[in-house]
Amino acid sequence: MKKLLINNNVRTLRFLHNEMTQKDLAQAVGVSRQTIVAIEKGQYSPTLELCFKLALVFDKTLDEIFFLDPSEKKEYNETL
Amino acid sequence: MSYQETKSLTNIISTILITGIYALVVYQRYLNGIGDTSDVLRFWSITILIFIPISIVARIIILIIFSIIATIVQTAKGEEVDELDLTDERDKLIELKATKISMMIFALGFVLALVTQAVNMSEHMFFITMMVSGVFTEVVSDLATIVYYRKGL
Repeated sequence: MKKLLINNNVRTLRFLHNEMTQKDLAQAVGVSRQTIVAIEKGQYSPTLELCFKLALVFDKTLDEIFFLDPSEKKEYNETL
Repeated sequence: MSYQETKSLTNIISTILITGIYALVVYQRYLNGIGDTSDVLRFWSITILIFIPISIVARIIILIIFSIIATIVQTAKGEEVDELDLTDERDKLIELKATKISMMIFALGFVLALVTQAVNMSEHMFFITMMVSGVFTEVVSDLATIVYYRKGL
């Protein structure tokens, strides 16, 4: 099955959250700065646990942080 | 280049260097007639048993030197040293994928070593093929790690 392309608002939310640095966010959720960089670039889909940690830090729900590209959603629905 | 990528690159270089130098020493001893090679199994058992501790000690020394250099470089850049060796879920996933690749390559190397015996090559060839596939496995595993860190999972 084709891998889903999951986008995220982590970069935006960081800036809205007192211009938080990647390092600060990494420390808050217990990962390396490189992992935050990879998540922001869409190179890595974090585990559900890390997603929830991010949600807790930003005080947002999961779908406010992570979302499917509309084209991906349409393509996926067509295959069902 | 990140800390993990540099570490993998150091691993590749140290693997090639340590095994290369040891192979050269063993080959020189073999050419000079030092060591009994009439009993192939005994010869290779001794060779591999000596290689294991040498390899472990050399790797530890290289890793310590690497950590010291990395710390100095990070401090000079003004980055926090604590962050250097933090292993998170992404690191573990990359390690897992690299291990999977290395297992497949080593299995392939073992089959190749068996083929050398099936086609009546010398018993030395079996062990040489195993050693070479071991080195190749480590190199590919570290290369895969670098690729996963660069391109993403």
